[in-house]
Amino acid sequence: MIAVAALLAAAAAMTTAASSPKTAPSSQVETLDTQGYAHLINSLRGQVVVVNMWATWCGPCRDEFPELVSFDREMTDRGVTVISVSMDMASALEIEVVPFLAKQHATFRTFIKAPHGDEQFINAIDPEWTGALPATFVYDTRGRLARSIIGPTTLAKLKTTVTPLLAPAAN
Amino acid sequence: MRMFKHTRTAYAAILLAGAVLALGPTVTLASSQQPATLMGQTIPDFTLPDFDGTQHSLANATGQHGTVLIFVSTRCPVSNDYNERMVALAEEYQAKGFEFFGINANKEEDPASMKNHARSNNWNFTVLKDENNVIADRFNASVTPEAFVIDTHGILRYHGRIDDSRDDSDISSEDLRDALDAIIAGRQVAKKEAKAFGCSIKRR
Repeated sequence: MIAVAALLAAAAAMTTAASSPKTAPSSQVETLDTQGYAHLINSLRGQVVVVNMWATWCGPCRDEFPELVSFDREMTDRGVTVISVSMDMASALEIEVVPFLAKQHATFRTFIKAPHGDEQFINAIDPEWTGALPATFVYDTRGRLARSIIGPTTLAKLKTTVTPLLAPAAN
Repeated sequence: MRMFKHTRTAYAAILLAGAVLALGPTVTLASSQQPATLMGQTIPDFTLPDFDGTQHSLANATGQHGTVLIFVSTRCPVSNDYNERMVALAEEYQAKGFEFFGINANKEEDPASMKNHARSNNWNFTVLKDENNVIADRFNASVTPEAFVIDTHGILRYHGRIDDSRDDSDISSEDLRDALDAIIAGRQVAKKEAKAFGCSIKRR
């Protein structure tokens, strides 16, 4: 009974999310700064981590987002963790970010970058990154940056990038 | 009239840095992006048309202390958040000896839309159209807004953000202003490059 009730509740929640995109809880979008980012990546050692940097004001970011959602659905059970970090201002969280995520049916963890420290954040992730969006960073199972994809990406490109990192370590 | 001579050094730096990064094992870059720095290098002269077709040359810029180039967009919300700040900076620093130019290198933004945008935002500086993003590629400009300050010797003295916050009530570092003040005072620019998030320049 409990299991059935849970399933029904989940189905109801999914229906609500699908029919009413603005119901996604903004409390699930956490604020992230440079230090928090480092801790996050460290905490996910053992998995391949794909971090997408985006913003609702970035057209190419919006265009590629469905590819990221598809990638997450295909790879979530294969040792890959997808994360997105929005560069929107905090004032856009409720009116732009959360509705967008709901509309995209994104289920991966999403953060919003903390105010201030943009340059430190950019350089800490990849000194070669200019801050242009979108950008996607792929970390191996040891938490090391394995690939920086500056510019739009695709489902196929993400799978090609991640697949070698999922193979057993040679050493 | 100042003349900025084409230098082999500048091009060599671009090619070398591009080659090094192309060979790097962990970085994949869009083909149009070359994260070489031109800081401290002589910028070759270039000529671009404004939205009415009048040609403007860097060599003919008249600022007694230098020239400010800002890559801008009519559509980018980040660039548009800086409209008033760019006007204020241009008003203040054109009077102090810098000539300001906006450069629009976005493929989807034509001269007519640039003209409407400049007028509706009361821009007090000339906006140039960089068709096929030739100059954006030369400067390795990647986002809007993104500023470049060139002194009267044709040397790039500052590159990067205007300041550190889209929200004009929350600025803690006015990097472009600081660079201009340093050049006027004859000092070294303390922070020569500063990054920020912005809209990618939409290249051909």
